[in-house]
Amino acid sequence: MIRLCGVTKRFEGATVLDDVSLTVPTGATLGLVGQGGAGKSLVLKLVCGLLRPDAGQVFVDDDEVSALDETALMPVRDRIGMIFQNYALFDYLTVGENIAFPLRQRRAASADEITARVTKRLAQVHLPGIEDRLPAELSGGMKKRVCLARATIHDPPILLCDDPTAGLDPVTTNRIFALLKAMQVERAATAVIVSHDVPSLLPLCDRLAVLDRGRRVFEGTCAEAEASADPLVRAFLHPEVTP
Amino acid sequence: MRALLDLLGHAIRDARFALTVGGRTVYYLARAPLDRAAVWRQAFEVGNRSVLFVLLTLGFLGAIMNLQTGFQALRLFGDASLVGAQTMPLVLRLFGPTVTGLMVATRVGTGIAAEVGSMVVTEQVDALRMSGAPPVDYLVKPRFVACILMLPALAVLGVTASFVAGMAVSYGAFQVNPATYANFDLVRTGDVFEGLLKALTYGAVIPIIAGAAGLSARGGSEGVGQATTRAVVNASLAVIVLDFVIGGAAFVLRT
Repeated sequence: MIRLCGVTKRFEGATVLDDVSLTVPTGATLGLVGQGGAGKSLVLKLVCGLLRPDAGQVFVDDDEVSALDETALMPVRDRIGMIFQNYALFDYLTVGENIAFPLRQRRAASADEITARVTKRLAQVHLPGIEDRLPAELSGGMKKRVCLARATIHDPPILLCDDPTAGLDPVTTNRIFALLKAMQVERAATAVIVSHDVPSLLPLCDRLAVLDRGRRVFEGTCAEAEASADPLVRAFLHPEVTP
Repeated sequence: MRALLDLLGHAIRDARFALTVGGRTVYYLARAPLDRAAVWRQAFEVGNRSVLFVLLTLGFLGAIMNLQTGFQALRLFGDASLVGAQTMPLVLRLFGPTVTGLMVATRVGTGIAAEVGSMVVTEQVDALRMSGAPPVDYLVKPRFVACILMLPALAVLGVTASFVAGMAVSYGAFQVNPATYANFDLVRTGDVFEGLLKALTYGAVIPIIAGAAGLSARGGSEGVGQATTRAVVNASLAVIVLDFVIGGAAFVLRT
């Protein structure tokens, strides 16, 4: 379970998240939407302890992430896979080395086992045989899929996806969402997915939350979101009828 | 006045963060295994990036220093035969290690800050943290060890270049015989130790200051640019201040 309780975050005096509370039950997927600068990516970074809140608490299962130091956060992060908005692939490592990196750092498997898992994961994301290529040689969609492979190589029970389809064409977007869906079905992970592509996101989600300028304006099931009268929620769910 | 206070505030913040990074580097050196392949790669980078730069700079400095000292000696005493003996302690104690330190601060320090800073703004450092690799352990520690190994080696090469260039200029300009030039009577063992201690200290300080500047980069390419500038300014300043401190301490010990 992931819980944010009254979280506030400020940068240089500006409040970027203001008293935000969210809950993602174990095994559920939360879609997190909002306009640019609403604080969506910030929520993900607070959940995995990459940033600390100025007020409020963040829990991952029973661990209060917001109170842990960098060393104590390690075992929490072992349970989390994160897909970054800007890929965050290590540009000096090959694709195979990138995907193997979390396992090598954690010394979680033998060299042979790591190689086998990398090969299997690349096949799962429909990119077989590209282990020796460098990230610079890949397209945006391929990088996102490599990022997905790296985030899930250690089979984390929690997955955080920061705009996994940003800047991708509709075909690649559908492919990424299909991969996320397949992985969710296979592993029943708790997930938070940030995306602007709400129509593609909804089939993956059990719950939806909408942020606006750092405040949570909606949280509920997808059916509740459909029934919501909030103009911003309606604008995200039905962009075609929004003036 | 306000600008001056802001500048002071930034300097104190930078120094505190660099101290934190330095402390963590020592902590990870003691607690975590050393990636020898990464150290070797970084040592090659540090040495390879700087060797020609250091040889050329110290070679020319040696030539200029001997030329100027020789002119003065000829003007005052009518004899330039002791030019080698006079300049050698200065090269060993001061110019060799300190100019090498400054060259490495500009050449390698900027490289470290730019590389680490780019990794910060493209979220690669966040990806490291999520993968169980503390950034100081993974990025700063190998560079720290590499610089500690390579800076004394570069300083020795620089001193040699300065010596050879000085010898050639003294022979060409003042007809000082190379055997006469190679007069080490005024060199003490303490001079060699002082030079090596300076080189070692610079080797420890430069990657930490540059790594800290890179890790504190924010924003996009502009932030990386600012981090790079901060790295070269702070590291060069640290080299000069440490030169004064170590040189002063050595002087007190000698007298």
